[in-house]
Amino acid sequence: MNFIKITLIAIVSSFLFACSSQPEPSTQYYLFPYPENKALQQRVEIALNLELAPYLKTDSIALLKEGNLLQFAHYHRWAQPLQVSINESLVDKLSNQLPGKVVDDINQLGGLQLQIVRFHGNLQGEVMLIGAWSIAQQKPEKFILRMQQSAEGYDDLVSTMDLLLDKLVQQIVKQLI
Amino acid sequence: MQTPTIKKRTKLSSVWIIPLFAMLVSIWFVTQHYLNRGTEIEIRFQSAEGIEAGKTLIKTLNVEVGVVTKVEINEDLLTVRVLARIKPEATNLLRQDSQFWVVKPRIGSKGVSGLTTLLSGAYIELEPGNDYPGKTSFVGLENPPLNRTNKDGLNIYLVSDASNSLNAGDPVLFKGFEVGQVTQIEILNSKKLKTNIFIESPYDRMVTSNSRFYNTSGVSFRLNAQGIDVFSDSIESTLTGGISFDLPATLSPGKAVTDGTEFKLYENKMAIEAHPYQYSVDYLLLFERSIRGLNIGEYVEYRGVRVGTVVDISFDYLPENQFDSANAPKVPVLIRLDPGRILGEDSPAAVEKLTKILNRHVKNGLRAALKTGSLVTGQSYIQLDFYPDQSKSIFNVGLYSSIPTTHDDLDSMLSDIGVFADSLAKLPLTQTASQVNNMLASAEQTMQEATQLIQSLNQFAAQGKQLIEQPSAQELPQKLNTLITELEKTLQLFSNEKGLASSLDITLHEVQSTLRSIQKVADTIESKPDSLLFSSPRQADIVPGKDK
Repeated sequence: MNFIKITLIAIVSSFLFACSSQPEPSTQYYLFPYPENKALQQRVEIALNLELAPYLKTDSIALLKEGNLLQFAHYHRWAQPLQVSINESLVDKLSNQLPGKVVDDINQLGGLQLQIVRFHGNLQGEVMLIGAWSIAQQKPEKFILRMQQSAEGYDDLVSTMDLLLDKLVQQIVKQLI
Repeated sequence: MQTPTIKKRTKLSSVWIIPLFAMLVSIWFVTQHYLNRGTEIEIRFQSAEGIEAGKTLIKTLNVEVGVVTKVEINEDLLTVRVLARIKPEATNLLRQDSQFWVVKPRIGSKGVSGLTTLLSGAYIELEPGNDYPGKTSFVGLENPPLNRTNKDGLNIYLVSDASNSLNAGDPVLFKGFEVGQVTQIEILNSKKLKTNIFIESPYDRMVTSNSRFYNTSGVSFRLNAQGIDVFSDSIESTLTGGISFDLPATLSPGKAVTDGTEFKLYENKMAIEAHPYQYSVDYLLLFERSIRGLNIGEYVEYRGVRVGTVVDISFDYLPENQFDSANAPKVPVLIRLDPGRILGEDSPAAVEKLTKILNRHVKNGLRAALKTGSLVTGQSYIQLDFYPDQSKSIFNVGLYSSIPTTHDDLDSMLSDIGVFADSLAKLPLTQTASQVNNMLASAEQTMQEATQLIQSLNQFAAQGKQLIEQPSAQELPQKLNTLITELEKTLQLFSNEKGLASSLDITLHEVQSTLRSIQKVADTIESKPDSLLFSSPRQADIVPGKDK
């Protein structure tokens, strides 16, 4: 009898526990690190015309799962539109690294045109940034940049993406000076 | 003792009556049998296919009139002799022109016949003729006769140059309806064929002396100065061949014809339209220029009215050695003029009359000229017309008379110039001159009005100058400048990147993002309607760099 009681209690409790759900993970929001400008007051800001691929205009962080399969994270999102973040980050970085005269010249020619067609990470930890930049009506300079994440996770992905933007800025500065 | 009285009985015993009666009856039977046996006849056939002694019947119009009694091979070993008995009541059918043939299943271009004999077996058809009776030996036909002697109709002979794939049994059509058939085709000589046709009553009345017979086999095309003509008759005759008859468009029905009348068989319908008349005159034309574009069958016209046809183009018509000896040999063209078209009379008398008339006209300047009928196809035709400045007469070339020819190119140009001059002369020049005068007068008036207009314009300009010199008008440019500066400032506000345009852009982006989220929600509800109430467990996001 005792055995039957214990068995019944076990079955009923297993039914009841089955109905309970796990606590849902909360949504995380990310932002690129804010650049540390040394002489924010004196510098001339570069005019940047940024054009993002349509898939980057969503709040969710895009991640290449395997092959051509792209997945948008549900619990990991951009705190503000990527268009604004990248624009802000690049304008700061370029304005800091380029001499004021060069920035003036570029602004007179209608600013820097930048087009980003791919900007995402993958399960292997590789982050890629593909696109092209140009000044006035010159031939666009294409770029394909890759970088490996140092650790797994979304936080490190965003840091690596910021590093890739640094790398792009260096490449542009190298071409212009 | 009584002595027996012996009486001699001279009379025969009445017992004998019985055998006598029996004998009489037998004689009567035998006689009856012989009388009812009927007439024995003999028919010769090429083969005895389907004929059996004692079984094969002889029928007329499907009524049994006799039976075959014996079948044997003739002495010549090539034909068979069929002996048959015809019932006494049918002996009247055995006439001089009676015909016999075997009815058996036949399949041909005319269809299937004799199918009933498949089950009943072949029989011999006897078709009684119209002659006197009393014949007992006949020659059987291999095929059923095409013209039944018991049918009313008309037998006609057609003479043609070639057979044109005609066969016995082909249909004779009138306006597309079958009215008879070809019964026989004979070869007269290497170039002529004689086709016998039979036209059934009452359609035989359609055949008149003016009827023209033509071959309807196949489809014929013709390209000439008037365009393209296509002729074809019924599908049956197009495929299997046949003969049609009709009246040419220009002729009225002639006299009724009798049995055995001979007609010409034309090649096709175009041929009967080309030469619908029986009587015609041939002339040879000699051209000094190229006749390229002129075809046989082309029209000969007198001032646009058709009077004949081009029959042939060949150097054969030149007398011997003419081509070799002449300096620049002319090109002979044979034309056929129809008195029926010109004089409305189709008779030998009309031919003579036309010859005389043409002789007279040629002396007065009638000439033949080659003209271009169609600039598109380049086809030419022959035109007869008067060219009064030339005087020649008809001369003979070989067997034919020749109408003099002329060049027409220059002539047509001259006549065109004449027409142009005529129309120039008809122009209303006097009227035009008076109209010009009127126009000049009104132009003068307009000029005066224009001067007045210029004067008032001058006044207007002076007034305008006064207006501009006023101080309020002077201030206007400055005010405009201020307005423009203000406008520029406002526009700058809009164009500034961090200003209104930028925030508008962001708002738009957010609206787009919201719309996309709504679409996602809609998709989820569509695929899982209960997801509004019961949240489905969502898997945790994949982690970047997990597989490193």
